[in-house]
Amino acid sequence: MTALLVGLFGIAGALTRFAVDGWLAGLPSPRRHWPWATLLVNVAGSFVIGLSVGVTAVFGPEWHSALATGFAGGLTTFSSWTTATVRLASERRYLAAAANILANLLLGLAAAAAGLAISGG
Amino acid sequence: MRAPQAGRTGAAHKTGSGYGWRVWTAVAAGGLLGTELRYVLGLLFPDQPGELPWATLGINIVGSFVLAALTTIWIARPQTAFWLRAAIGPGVLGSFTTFSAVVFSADQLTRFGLPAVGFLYLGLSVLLGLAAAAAGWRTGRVLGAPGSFDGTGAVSP
Repeated sequence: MTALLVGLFGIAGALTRFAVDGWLAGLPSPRRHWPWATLLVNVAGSFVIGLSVGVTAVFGPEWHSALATGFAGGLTTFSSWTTATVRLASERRYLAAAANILANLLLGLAAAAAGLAISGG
Repeated sequence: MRAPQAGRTGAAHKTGSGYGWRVWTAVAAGGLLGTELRYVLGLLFPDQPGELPWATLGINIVGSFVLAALTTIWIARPQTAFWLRAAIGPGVLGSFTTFSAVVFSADQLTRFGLPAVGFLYLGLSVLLGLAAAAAGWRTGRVLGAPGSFDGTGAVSP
């Protein structure tokens, strides 16, 4: 049962991430590329995993796994984050690469703490 | 035209709601596979209290290497079907690796009196993840270079 929920929520997370990526890529922008979509899904997913702590007491552990391991895990991505950073470095955009690392870490940590605080965890 | 972005699937393509059903289905199938793989590895190698979350660390290192390698291979071979790249990149690898679990575990380790372990975990994830992606990037460049395969596309069917 838990494995099924995790899978379904994982699909939802992956499709949401893909939609955000396509949506941001489609916006007209004069700027050079920077992985905004990855930052957005990583911060949102970090908030969700913080929120998910409060879910166990209310709905049970399987729904916690669905939200934390499934949705937040599927929505956020580590491989795109590191690959995009290496790509920026390969274009000698070192400041943009460092900003990508720091922005995800700092905003991700803050979002997880905020979610945790709201869920009462 | 925008430059293709890492983690996206290579060449500039239709964006937003312009993707066909085949692409969405491919991402969903890949997302299911990647999520279940991560879930099963988490069950096989559960986090121990006060220790580094080794399973997640390993998943993120492996995923970073593979996605970076595929990204440079696909830049060299843009003829690879878009739905296939979407299934493997944003689908499998995007869902297999996770960012939320990393910051959450670092937060929890710190909250439970082990800030040094939490900081070490963040540092190792970033350094080893970046090193793996850099190694994958170079590996993909070599593999994607013309003549490295027989020309029939062993990597890109």
